[in-house]
Amino acid sequence: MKHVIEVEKISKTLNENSILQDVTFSIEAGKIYGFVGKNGSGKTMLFRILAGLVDKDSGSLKYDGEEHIFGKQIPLRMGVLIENAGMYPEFSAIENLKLLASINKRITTKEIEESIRAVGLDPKDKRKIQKYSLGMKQRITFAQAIMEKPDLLLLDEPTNALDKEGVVLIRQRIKEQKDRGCIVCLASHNREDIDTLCDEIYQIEDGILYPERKDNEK
Amino acid sequence: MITAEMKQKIRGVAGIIPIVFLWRYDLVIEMKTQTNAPVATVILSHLFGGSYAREKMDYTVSVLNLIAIIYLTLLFSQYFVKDIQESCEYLFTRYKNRMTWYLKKLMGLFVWGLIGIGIILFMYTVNAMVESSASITFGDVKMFICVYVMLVFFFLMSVLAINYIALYKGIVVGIVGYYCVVFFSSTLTLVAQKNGINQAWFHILNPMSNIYIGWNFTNIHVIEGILYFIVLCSVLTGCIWMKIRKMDLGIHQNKENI
Repeated sequence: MKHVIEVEKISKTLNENSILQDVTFSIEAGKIYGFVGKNGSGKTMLFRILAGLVDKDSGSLKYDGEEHIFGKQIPLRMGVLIENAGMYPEFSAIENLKLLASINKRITTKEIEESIRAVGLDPKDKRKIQKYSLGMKQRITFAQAIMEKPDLLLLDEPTNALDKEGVVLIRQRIKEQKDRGCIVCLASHNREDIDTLCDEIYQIEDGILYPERKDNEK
Repeated sequence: MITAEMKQKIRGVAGIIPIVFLWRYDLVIEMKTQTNAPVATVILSHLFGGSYAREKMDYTVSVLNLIAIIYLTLLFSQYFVKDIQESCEYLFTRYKNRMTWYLKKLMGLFVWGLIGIGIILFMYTVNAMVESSASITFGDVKMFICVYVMLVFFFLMSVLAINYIALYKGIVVGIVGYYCVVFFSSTLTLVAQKNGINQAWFHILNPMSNIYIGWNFTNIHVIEGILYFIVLCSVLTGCIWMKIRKMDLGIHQNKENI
């Protein structure tokens, strides 16, 4: 089944500041959607709403045609990478991923190790995550997002703090997720990420979403 | 599968053993001293400085024995809050819904409470069994179960109260605020005891009196005390659920990142 997410006129206000205003778009499996905008424009808030972490004030959010009620289960498997969100710093990379995988028990230790290798890290590394560099933390967070082969992948600045080699690797992994039939939503300040990876691009300015034409369509 | 989080908790709970030894080393030294008192009486006098039908409890002894429970409570002081404030993005996108997460956490907390308080009481019981020359009776077992249940629910209430305050005001305010209430409540108990106040309204208004002096009157007071903590736990469980079921997650710590 090809998953579809429909967002219609979603608005969100926080401390009397309007974060999102009548945001409307539709996304489907097998494509990468780029979201660009300044800091504080509402990209992360939109991702949090899609992930069911934050409730919208108004509007409609449908997963595969069914209206989603906040607090209920989202019918899609989800992988999330949100900027500044923390893993457990006192545990090693594999311990962190095993802990998260133990919630749904969908994957084996071997698959967890494979996802760590897929981002260029060593699953046998016993160092705690707090000893990791920023780039390594970003890689392991990306690994947790893709390890359970999600239907919806929400990536907020996935190439932040990565070296050139890391950027190329993560881009490759994002393309693989798309080829697998996953819906990928990508927010990035790195225009190259957006231009090389995304099938459709949306611009968010002060909480208002505009579709942006790709250069080759202009 | 034993996760790293469970291993960390096991190590933490095992820390109770040296803490009890350190704070009550006198009990180990005095173990050679034999007494004719029933095992239950010895446990109660070591835990609270009092026993059934004794209207006095020793405040210092009680506080010394609370240290192990305070340690256990502090170990779990961020039990709910940490998931909500630090790793919510990765946890809550995996759980079916928040209720599943909450029930799993509550069950886990109850089990950890049984284990932690069990270790504390086991150490006191072994000590009392060596010290007392009396054989164990049904009354001793009944008292042991009552102390166990009451302390487990006291532990649950403490963790729930700290986490509830922490959801609004942060973990430091949660811990300091809760233990200020415990200290104030304990002092009131001591004052009330000196002045012979033991009416029902006093136990209801003053949580710690249920822990300290409930034993010293009748069995009915013990059952009342247990029910009292069960009710408090239920109210706090409901309050935490009301707070988190519609809570926007991940915003408070990342205000700049919207």
